[in-house]
Amino acid sequence: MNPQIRGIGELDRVIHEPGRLMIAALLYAVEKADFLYLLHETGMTKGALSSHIARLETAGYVEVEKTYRGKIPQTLLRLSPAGRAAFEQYRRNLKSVI
Amino acid sequence: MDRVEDMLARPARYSNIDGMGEISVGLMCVAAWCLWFVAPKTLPLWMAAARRGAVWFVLLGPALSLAWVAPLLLLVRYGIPAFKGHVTYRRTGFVQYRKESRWASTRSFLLFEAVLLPLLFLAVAAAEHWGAAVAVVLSQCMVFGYCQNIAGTRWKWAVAAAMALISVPIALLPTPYIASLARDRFMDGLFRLSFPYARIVGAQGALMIVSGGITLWSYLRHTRPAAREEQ
Repeated sequence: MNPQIRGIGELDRVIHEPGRLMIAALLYAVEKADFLYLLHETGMTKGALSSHIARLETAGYVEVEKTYRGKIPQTLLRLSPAGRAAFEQYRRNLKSVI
Repeated sequence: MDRVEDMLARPARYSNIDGMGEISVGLMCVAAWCLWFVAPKTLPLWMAAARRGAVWFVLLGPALSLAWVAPLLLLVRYGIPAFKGHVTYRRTGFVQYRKESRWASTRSFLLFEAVLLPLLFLAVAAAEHWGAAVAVVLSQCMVFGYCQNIAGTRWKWAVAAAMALISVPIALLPTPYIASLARDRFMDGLFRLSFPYARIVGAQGALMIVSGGITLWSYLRHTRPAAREEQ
């Protein structure tokens, strides 16, 4: 098999899904961001966003922190070191196969 | 892949989504220009006082300048974060940036300066109106910073182009003549360099306030505070 085509199969499937890819890319560029920011930037529904975040959290790629801004509950999200490494690897793999 | 790169660039553009970045820098620029606007009147008085040895009067100038700038600094230091906390983060979310992303823009700025400095010396050597020439070159630092940190949409690039272009006619406006300064070559040279520069910075600041104001108006018009559970 062509090694380039084989590279497509090696892409991280957790990150490769478009919704999760958007979340990972946005979080990669920042230290942390809240749920509202991701909702606004990705244009996803709350349910879809929550489900993608849960999947990324299960994979150990995203750390979720529940806190308060004043009296308003806030969900802060950050890419874990494993998530950061996985995203970098994903970008390298994607560049090599395109 | 382009879409991924675009997503990576979006958080940087988010810092000025409400126009407050532009407005705060613009305010500081206009405030600096206001100080220079009164300089042709105050500088001769200040120099005369310095010659007489009137220390209290000599210190009064910097003290008044500080009294003028300090409230603006406080506004930028505390007012802008307060606005973001009460308006922006409640409407479109909170972002905390990575420190290394700031270093990247500083590195680009230093690289730009390394290219700029030789040009600056050439301008000083070749131009008859060297003060104006240096002022134009220096003022492009502001445009570079704007392009690096703020310009993300097409019309912001138009603002950046306007900032670059207005610097030339403004620099060529006549610099006020101060008789008492003409005797001191160093002070006169410094004034002939800094006055056109301050005038350009003031005009660029005014442009940024207008541009930031439009962004703020558009932001407030198109967003609304999110429900509590969304955050």
